[in-house]
Amino acid sequence: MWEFLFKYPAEMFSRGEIVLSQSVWLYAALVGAAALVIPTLLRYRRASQSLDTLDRAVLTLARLGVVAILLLALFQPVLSVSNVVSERTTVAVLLDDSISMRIADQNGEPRAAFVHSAFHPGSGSVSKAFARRFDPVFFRFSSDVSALGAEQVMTFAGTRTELGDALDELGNQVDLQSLAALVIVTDGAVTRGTSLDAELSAYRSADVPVTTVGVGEPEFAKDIEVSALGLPQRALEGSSIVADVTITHRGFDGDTVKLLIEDDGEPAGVETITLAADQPVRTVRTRFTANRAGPRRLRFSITPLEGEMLTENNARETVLDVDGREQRILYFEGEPRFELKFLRRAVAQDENLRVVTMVRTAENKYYRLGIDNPEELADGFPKTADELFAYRGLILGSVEAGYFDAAQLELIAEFVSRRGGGLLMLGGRHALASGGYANTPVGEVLPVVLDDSPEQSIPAEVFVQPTTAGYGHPIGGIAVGADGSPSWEGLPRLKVLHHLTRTKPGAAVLLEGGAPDLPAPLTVLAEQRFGRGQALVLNVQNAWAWQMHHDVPLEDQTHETLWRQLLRWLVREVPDAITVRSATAYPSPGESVEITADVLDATFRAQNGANVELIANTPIGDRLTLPMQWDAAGDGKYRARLVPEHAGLYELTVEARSGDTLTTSTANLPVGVVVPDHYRAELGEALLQRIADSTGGRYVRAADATSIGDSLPVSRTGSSVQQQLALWDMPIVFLALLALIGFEWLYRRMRGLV
Amino acid sequence: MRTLYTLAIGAAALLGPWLPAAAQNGLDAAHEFYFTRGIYSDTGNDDWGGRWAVDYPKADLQFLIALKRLSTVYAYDSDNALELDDPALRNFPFLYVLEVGSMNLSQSEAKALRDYLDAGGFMVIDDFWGTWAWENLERQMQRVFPDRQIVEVPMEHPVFHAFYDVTEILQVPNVYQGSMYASGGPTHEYDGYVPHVRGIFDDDGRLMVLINWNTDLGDAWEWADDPNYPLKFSTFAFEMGINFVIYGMTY
Repeated sequence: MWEFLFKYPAEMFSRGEIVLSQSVWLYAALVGAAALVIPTLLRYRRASQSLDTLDRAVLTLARLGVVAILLLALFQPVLSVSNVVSERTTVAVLLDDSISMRIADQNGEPRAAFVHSAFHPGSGSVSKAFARRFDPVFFRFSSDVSALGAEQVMTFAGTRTELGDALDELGNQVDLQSLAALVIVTDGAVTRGTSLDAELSAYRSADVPVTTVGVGEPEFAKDIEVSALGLPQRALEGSSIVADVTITHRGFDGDTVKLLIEDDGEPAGVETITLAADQPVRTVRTRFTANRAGPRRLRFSITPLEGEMLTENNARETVLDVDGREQRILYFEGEPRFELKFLRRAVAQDENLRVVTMVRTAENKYYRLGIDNPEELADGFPKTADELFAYRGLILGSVEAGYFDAAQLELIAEFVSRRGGGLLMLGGRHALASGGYANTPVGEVLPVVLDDSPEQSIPAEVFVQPTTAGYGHPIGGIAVGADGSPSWEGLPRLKVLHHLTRTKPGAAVLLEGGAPDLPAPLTVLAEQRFGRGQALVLNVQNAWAWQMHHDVPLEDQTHETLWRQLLRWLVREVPDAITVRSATAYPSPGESVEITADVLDATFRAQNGANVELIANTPIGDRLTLPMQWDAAGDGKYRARLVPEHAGLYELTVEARSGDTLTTSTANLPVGVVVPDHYRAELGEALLQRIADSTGGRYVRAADATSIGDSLPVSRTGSSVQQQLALWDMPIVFLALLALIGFEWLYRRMRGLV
Repeated sequence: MRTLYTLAIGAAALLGPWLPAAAQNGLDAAHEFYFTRGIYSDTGNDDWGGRWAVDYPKADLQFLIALKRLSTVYAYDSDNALELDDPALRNFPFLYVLEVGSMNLSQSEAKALRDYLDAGGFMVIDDFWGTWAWENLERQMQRVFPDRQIVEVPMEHPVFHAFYDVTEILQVPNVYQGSMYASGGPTHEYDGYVPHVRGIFDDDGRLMVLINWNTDLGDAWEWADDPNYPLKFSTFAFEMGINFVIYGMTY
């Protein structure tokens, strides 16, 4: 309606300015106005005898109104507005070709149908409008970008919506300085939900407004989605795995559903969930055991319910790399302690854990257990990185800091920070602050604050309970009652020698201990990441009471589970000398994937001069060998690109040769097991609005897309010019004239003046 | 019989402030090791009172002196005697029992001892001699572990090498025969001519019970300060005892 009355869109009036034309017509108009006004006034003056005062006023005003409109038209008003001119008329149109565009939530039709009808390069209605003013060029995108001709057909089969990559790639394919505007037609359901600020900066610099057209509904009427999985990528065989499953639901408030966990197709667990109205997004914590070594395909699914908009998002898969290798942990005790005996017993049946023990039985006398050969640890605690870094975990018992020289203390700290190992310090009379670790490199690594403040109510016997964080941790599930639920109340009290209440920023307290005579709970188990590794403190000295105490039934497994879980946790993410990563988590067949390898030597220092190869064993049994190129941007970093052609698991082995030393590491790359575009597939309006706002473009929904055909925000620099658009011939002008003349006639008829 | 134990403890208490607070509550500061002596029921066919208390407490205290002097074991300074069916026994995973020739376990004691050992406790038996004493021990152990055999412990077993390398089993005489040893006296008692170290193992091959038969380590500890007692035997007894403790705290 606006454009019918005022000839131009409102948006142009808002950014333009109305001015009167400075020409000879101005003077002609003034003369013409005088010629009209003077006779009018004279006529009404002569007719004064037959008209009363009201009639004279009304008729004079109506006639003057007509004169004013004509006068205004004669002044030739124009809309002065900045518009693109011929040398920058290219408009790029980027069309979402991903599979989520098949969702039928655009007025009951698939989103793709709208794209086809409005933006097909040859026949789309908005495309035609663009063609009248610009030179539109079309591109399609999903995980890649390619030009789209009028004769080409979009398949809407892309498994990802990589808008950020598409913006980058488009900038490579076209000269942004030549673009008047960019139009993105998408559902905004991007695979990687970043702000896109970095990718858009090039468009802002080139003054290319980005207009976004949102397709689809911002919220499905009915849908259940397994939105995210939170679980480790690696685990030791037999470990208890905690998985956080995020579920988003719409329109099923109060319904009860079952979350099924499958391990390589076999049931591994089930959780019953009630979908609460006040929790449209909720996270369900599940536990299961990684029973078998090797890459495990885990599937978390909810049976589709009637009326769901999308059922493909009811399940999510991931691959858990279950490590069946023996993990060697060095346990150094400064004195014989029963904790050592019972710890060894607790993990004796665990084939994944090998606790190599060295206990100082007298001054300069050690008793070694679990060693590979007589030379191992023969000279006492390791003095070199080669020796210490061969272990993946380190337990320090009741051994004073003064036992170590400065280099060894530094080495222990580097075992955590550089090697990425797990350090566990146990409570004991020569441990923690009592052992003199405050203000040492090892003390820096620990998650607790060691100070010399007076110790209160120490030693104490405490009841151990998990904290909130502890309940969400594998350690929180070690004490199990008869009904299978956590049960900590019946466990014997444990002896604590250290008054620990403060932890470092970033540390987490998992277990705490209370007693009636303690003013506040003491920290019993705390952990923190430090560099590449992690450090834990277990502030008790007789966890073996959970095995030996008279109140603990012989068949109770709490003590065994404590140590198994704790030591597995300690070494669960300890890196190998080579770390293999894929830049794309769940690539599709045919998609190019960048593989990165961080290569370290035996002392875990970056190795730049190695000869590195990537060997990929494909799901169909082929073997591909690719050289990996050293990346000058990062020490020890090597890269290669792999194009997996087949769906399934690719086993990636990286071999690094340096002199006579060969180091290898293996990772698994799942290909085609997840279609990311099926998730978070609702219209992402917030992102599209932000893109438009940050670049000077507009965001419109699909229903309003026709408006951008004539009012597309375009670049205001370079080849843009001021345009003077005539306003005298706006339909509103003539309609106003007709209305005034008609009113005068009607008034005269009603008053009998005709 | 319990009356006799009480009398024995009461009499011993008069000798000095040695009754262990640790035995009462299992919590005494931060000590790691308590030399715990097992009080058991016996046949009561002699005039000695409880046979469990032979050499008690001097043997225990002298052994603790040597243990603390020679190793880093953070041991409680005093003795610690507990009845086998006392729930507090489970706070002390090392147990010393001797003179088992007259041991006569009650049902309660047999079950408590089995549970103690199954839970991870380690028991050292000492100072019983001859065939009849052995047969009694076998009967008692059958009641504790009907399904476990007593076997010879080989010399390469870690229990002989945990701290000292013991390569030969000596017969350690009691204090009287020890004092006669220099003049060619015998070291055995009854028909116990050959010393043996035997054991009961758990399902994972760890020693649960270590049996020193036809030998008397306790007397060698108790009389180590006697110039008439041969140093050779005291030294051997301390070596064996410390090995037992280190083994019991690591396996």
